[in-house]
Amino acid sequence: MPVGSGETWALSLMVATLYSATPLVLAALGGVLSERAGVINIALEGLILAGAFVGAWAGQSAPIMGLAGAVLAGALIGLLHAFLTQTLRMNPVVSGLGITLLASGVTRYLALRWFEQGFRIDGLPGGLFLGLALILPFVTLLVLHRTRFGVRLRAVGENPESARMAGVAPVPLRYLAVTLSGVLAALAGAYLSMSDAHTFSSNMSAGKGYIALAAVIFGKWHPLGASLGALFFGFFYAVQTQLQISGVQVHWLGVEWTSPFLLDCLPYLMTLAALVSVVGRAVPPAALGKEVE
Amino acid sequence: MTGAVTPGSGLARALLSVGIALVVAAVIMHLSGYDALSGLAALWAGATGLRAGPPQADGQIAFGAGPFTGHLDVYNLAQSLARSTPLLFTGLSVALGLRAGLFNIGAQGQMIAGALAAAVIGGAGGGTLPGPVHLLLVLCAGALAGAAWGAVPGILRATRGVHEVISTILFNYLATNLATYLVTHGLKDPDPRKMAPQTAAIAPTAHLHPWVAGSNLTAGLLLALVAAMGVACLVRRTSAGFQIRAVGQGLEAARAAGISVPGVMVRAMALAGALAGVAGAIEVMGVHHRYVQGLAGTYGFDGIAVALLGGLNGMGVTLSALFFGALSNGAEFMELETNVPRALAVIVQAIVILCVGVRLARRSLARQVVAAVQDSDEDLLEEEHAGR
Amino acid sequence: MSAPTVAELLPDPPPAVRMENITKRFPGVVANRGVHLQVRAGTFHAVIGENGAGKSTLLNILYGRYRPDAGRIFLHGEEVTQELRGPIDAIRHGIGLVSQHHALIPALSLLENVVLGSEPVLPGGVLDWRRAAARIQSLAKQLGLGTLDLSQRAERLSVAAQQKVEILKALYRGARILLLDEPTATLAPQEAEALFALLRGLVQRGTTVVFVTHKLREVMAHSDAVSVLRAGRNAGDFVTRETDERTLLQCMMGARSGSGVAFRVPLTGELEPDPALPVPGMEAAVFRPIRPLSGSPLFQIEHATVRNLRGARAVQDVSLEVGMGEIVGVAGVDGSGQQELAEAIIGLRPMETGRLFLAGVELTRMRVRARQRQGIAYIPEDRHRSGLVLDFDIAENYLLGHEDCEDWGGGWVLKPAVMFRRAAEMVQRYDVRTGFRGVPTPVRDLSGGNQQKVVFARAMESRPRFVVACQPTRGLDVEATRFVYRTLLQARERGAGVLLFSLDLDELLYLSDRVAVMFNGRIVGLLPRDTASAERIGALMTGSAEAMEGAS
Repeated sequence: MPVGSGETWALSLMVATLYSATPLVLAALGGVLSERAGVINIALEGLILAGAFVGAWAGQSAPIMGLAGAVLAGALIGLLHAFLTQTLRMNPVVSGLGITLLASGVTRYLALRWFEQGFRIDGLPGGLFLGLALILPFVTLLVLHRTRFGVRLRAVGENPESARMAGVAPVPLRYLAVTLSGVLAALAGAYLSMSDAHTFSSNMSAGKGYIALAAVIFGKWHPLGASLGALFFGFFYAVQTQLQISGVQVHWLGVEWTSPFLLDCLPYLMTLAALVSVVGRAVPPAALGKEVE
Repeated sequence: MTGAVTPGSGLARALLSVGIALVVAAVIMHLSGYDALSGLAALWAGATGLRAGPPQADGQIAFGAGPFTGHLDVYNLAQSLARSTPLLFTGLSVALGLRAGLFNIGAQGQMIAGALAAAVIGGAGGGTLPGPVHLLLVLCAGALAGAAWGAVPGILRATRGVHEVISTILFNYLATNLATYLVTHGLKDPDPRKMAPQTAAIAPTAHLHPWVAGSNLTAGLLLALVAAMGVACLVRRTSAGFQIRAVGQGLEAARAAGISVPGVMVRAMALAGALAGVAGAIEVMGVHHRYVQGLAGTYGFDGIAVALLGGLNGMGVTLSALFFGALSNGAEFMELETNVPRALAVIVQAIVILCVGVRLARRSLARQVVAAVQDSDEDLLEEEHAGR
Repeated sequence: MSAPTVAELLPDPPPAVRMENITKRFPGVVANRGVHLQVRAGTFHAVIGENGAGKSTLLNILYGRYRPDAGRIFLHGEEVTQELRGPIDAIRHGIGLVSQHHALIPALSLLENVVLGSEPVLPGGVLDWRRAAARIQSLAKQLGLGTLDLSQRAERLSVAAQQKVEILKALYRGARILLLDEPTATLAPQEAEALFALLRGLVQRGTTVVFVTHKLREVMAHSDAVSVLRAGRNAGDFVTRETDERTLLQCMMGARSGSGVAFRVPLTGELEPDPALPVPGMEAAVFRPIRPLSGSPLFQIEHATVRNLRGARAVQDVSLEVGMGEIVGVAGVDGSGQQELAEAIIGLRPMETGRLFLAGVELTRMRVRARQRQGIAYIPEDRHRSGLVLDFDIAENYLLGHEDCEDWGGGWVLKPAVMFRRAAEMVQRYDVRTGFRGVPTPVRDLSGGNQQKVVFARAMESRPRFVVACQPTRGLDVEATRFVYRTLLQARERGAGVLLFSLDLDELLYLSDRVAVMFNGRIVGLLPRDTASAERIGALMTGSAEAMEGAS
């Protein structure tokens, strides 16, 4: 994309921001669902990876199969995270890291077996995922605050024992929430492989799961807040790629600031900055990370 | 947080986890069309250097007789031990963090920082410094750089409440990118024929020499074992270690007892970073003799599995590092011999983490007996019942 | 007393609740051993017993929260033992529980709290707000609670108001049998009276109320019948108007009732414990007149303002002095700023304004450890979280806070032999029951009373000049409570000052030389013990204006 007038540059930056934010928004909403139910979900990263892999693999036959496969894989892995943390009482961070590592290992192993070098898939139009990323924050908000499921989910995330005393079974609810969370994160992965890269490469999630989690904290566990956080981080991804595409060179104090390696730091650095500025004042769900009897 | 990672997960559980993981690996090999048995045999041979049959090359030592003849490939064994060296350091790094209740996912970045600093200091002096002094300086540089890289997330956690899991992961990405920038720009190898992203070679005075010709096994392993003992003593026998354990296992109680929780967190993270930094320095001094991109591999992340399987204690982490070092080297050997992708080792590692983390029993038998002879306390009972 | 209720007019209806031979074991402890409970429909039934007697367990079994190991449960004559698998089933059978610990969820709105688990929904699982709100408001009117602001978060309500909402929540689910677990433990006496009036009204309209307490005064004043539990077994059933406090007390305490439970007798105005019930080792300290404060007081806090976690001012302009050899009690409804004040004194929470002095030395800018070295000791309210590291053994917990002291076995390198010896001495001196493993036992495995002994021993062995004790007897049995009282009085005897935060007025009246009353973060009264009474303190606790005029 050549550098045109300032206007087209700004427009393409806006579009790039929206698309960069799309997987972050989807994964962050997954994070909101899981964490509002009280389950820390570090597994988002692995879920994205798994979604990307299955989307690419199943998407070879038909794009819709890729989408369905990714959703199914996300649900199953979400279920696994719920089972490990809720039924086997594993530390959620350990479970999340283990699942992420498992996803990374399995996808790398299978990619060597199943994918030809440099294979491409047609995939799905990015607009589809963008649409989802625009609608789902509001849907999540409505679900959390206007439905029976949402009230119960928040109750379980705040105090599972109180919820149980009121006649709500916390564990099945957490299972459901984490499963849905897996579906959303896997959708983010499906976007990466099916609409963005049109291929699968190992570890293509590149930390987006963690950044999505940071967006959840930045957005104070609120669906709209988390989505805005994701948009904020997506903006810096877009700035980074737009600057790289534009070929602008900035040298100052002997440092080549426009080096792709330094630009790559931008989203991570801004995520850190955002966390430093907001945490402390962000109150997580009271029972986040706590077990149910 | 309940479901906390607590020290001492038990040998039986560790062995069981490893067993389950290897069985799953075999099943995966079988399902994906490989011969699981020859795969596992290659994995074992690469990991331990032990193999059936008479020696076929130099550096292989025969043992046994008749149908029970076997040989030990010294090189393979040495390479496994060499792999264990950085793993022991990063495992200790993660374990020390967890002792203070902090999940240091940042050993990766800390190792990179340490390696880069070691490469810079290792290149200085132009071979004029006395060997031991230079070695010590390079190690210190690695430790300090790693400590600094680890301390920052510690400070952010202690003062701003930024969760260390997320901040250390972000610091890993920052370290990777910054290091790559530096070795393609300011610190790039000045040799115009070398295009690879790497620094100049370090001076020979800063080299660690291989114990087995051609291998990467150096005195670094000894240093790692000393570090394991040192960390174990620190944690169990000093007041600094006592404070770390108190913060890790009872943060509020430590605070109320006047222990400076922020101070302990920052110190623990700095020390964890220093351990990972030394791992980087040793890779520079003993293996690559310069910083090359990708030098840290996945040692930092692997340290998590090492620490968890090792139950956070010195002996356990040492054994666990030896296991994962052997697994990693064995997987590479397996890929060469049988074409089974080495990513299988990652799967094994993931399954080990997931198995070790499961907590089956809620109360030990001893506790039940003690409670039985004492008066009841309904508050406590209720918490026991509802909380855990 | 009241008009005959429907239940009294009918000839012998089946009891609303009948529990037979209930046995419940927890790992290591039998909480209920073959317990019976029979409650007539439409009556106000009290279950009493000391801490650890198994009364809460029994209530929780009836609510389906715990499954009994043996025994049968009947509701209105029908067996439901197998059906009560969880609170959901209990709710379905018309049982409601107002619990001490797992009450409303602070972050949820009142409406969400009330409907949680029984939400009226439109098609698609969408909440039917209007139907819910209408139903709740009409119930509130019936209960005399007026119109509620249903959108506010539950955390904004006082403890007393939360309790009323909890009752409403139970009735919303159609509860006809209402269970209350220590409902008045954190209420001022006047608030407790209001609560009982409300419950009385419910009983008049046919609701069956079962409440658990250890306050005999409440039992005598309000209940129709009483069941007494002791050490997990039935100790007696009484019709309230045919019994008296003394009988109930003896029944509660069993053989020990002769040897020192004076402080469990509800004090009705008079301060002197019953001389017939002497408390060993206490008399000398308790009945000595207050010594005059000589010169400057030992401890002073001046104009302290402290913010809580959410940034609100929890303590406002508090000034207080404690003299040598003086126990100053701090009364107040739970959440009136006691916790924040205690934490500010210890150094765990910064003061926005104000200064602190101990024996003339200003502590305001000192850290926790430095204040401890000046002679402050802290008995935290939550011994599991703040008092002990549960996975540490006794020796390690004993060292906590002294890990830099050579003579405690600390210093750069720990001296396990010294640690062990000191801990073993302490275990002996304070009679800590450790079980067969002795000092290496993790404190998690000790009973609550023995855990508290370790906390006290650690604080007292540093010879503090000033002790801040927060709810030191919460959840303890009689023996352990007596230990706590004796230790605090010994500290006073030695000349130490004690600031005692407690929700138990009887305890405060018994131990304190002066009682300060906190309301909304301020000290609204400071009463010398000879003018203090439960009624006056209670009036101040609830912010009654005329009470404040009288006390300054």
